[in-house]
Amino acid sequence: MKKFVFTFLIILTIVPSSYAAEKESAFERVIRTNTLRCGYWNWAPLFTKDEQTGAFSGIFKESMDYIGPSLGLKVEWVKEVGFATFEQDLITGKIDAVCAGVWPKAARGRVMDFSAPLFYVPLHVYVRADDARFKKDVMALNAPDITFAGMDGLVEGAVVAQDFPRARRTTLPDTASVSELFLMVKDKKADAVVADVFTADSFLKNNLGTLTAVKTATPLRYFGNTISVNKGEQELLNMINTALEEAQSAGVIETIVKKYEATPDSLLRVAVPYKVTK
Amino acid sequence: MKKLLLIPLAFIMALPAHAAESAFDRIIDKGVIRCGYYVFPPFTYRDPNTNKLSGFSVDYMEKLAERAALKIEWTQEITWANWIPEIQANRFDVACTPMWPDMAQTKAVTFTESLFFAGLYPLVRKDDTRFAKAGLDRLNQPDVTILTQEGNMTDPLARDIFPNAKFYTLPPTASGGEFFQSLLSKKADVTMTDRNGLATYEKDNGKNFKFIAEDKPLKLQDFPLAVKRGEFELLGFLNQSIRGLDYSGDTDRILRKWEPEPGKTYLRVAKPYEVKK
Repeated sequence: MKKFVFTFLIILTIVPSSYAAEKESAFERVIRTNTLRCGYWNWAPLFTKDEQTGAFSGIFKESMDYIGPSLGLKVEWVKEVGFATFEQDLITGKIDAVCAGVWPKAARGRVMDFSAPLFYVPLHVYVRADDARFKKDVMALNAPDITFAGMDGLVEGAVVAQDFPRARRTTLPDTASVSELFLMVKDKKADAVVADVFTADSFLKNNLGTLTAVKTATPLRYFGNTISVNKGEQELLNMINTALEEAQSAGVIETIVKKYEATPDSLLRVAVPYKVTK
Repeated sequence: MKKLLLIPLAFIMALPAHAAESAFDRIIDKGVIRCGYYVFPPFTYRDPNTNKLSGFSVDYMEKLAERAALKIEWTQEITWANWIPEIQANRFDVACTPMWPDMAQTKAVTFTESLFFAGLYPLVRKDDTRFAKAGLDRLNQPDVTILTQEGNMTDPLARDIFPNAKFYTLPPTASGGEFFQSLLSKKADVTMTDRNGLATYEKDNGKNFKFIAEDKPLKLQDFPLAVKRGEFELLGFLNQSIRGLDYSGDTDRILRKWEPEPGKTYLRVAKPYEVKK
């Protein structure tokens, strides 16, 4: 009989833990605790933390200030996350969502899901303000005597290769700062750089009038700025998307984006889902 | 003692079964998306000598996989008749050739967002001048015969839109060539097709037809991929990838490479953002 009891206990021990209890989903945890635990990063104007006071601000901070109460939830900013590690924080449940503007990319789509974008950030080509060669036609940049400043691992490399295949590209190692790319153009070590509006605005704030975006009918590329959740958290995502839709239709997101964008209308608004019949 | 041994066995059997592995789990585990595909221009071509596949679908899916550090396995050639039971039996993960979704099929499969669109327009003989300025109302008259095919979704559509017209309906086995021949031999006056249908015909037969009311498609046709019903993680991954390839301009570039009239054959997905004027 002792042997039997021992065998039974061994079997119980080796039964996979998933049999013992269904793991609580992030959505269930959020509803049970009435709290959405958000991860964030420091990336102006999406989300910033004042190092002296510890106060948070930014487009996503203010948007979540609206979305949280509209869902009857408290938003807790629990953890500063890194670009390379935030997926692990979602998988392990340290946070329920990254609420600070995540760019959806296919490789990220393997491990997480994304909300509807709050807005889109465009990528433009920036050249020296006094360089008139490209004013009439951006495709004048697609020439062998043109050099783009680039950095290993950045998305701009693929854009230059696809859109300006005849141009050359001089690259910095990924340990350099992105502002060095702009400096290369400013100092005539390169002719142009492809960059997003956030990065460009951050450089131009301290280097007013040095570089300018080449005017094009549509931006070279654009990325949605979203909230991301762990892969498969469809219920949580549906809830967040419903609140986002309400915030968009109430004009809340527009008001917040306007407040934070450095140049009026430089960020792309989400198109309305209806058409006005004339 | 035997009875005692049965107790733990019965206990184990009473435990809930593990959920079956999802298609998405399988893809991540193996690093491979298994594609079902059908051969139809310009989406998929198969070289008769080497069996090598090419076309829009091949370039598109390879790019999608590359972006997610996955690989594509072109697992199975499918037909309209067998693709649903085959995907339900897990023989492949994704129907990788964009197809016209049918609402009845959504009981068994789930479609992604559309990669692009096509307009279905009325097509008439080049020398038929009756419809030049009259517009679509002129088609809905008893002296007009509309050509359709049994089992094709254009048949109920045309009957709804043009209830007063006459109909000449070909059997489901009729070829594309018979379709156009029926118009040329004046058995019917009008049919409905998209720009790719006409371009494929014109490649070998010259310009014998024209579209009318091209600014108002009778139907807007979407072209999504498809997964087995309930595969929501895979669906989310594919939808995000479809948006990513659209935003990066890859979809447009690949379409331009393969569509008969670059930039014209298929309608692109509208931009998700508003341009301030």
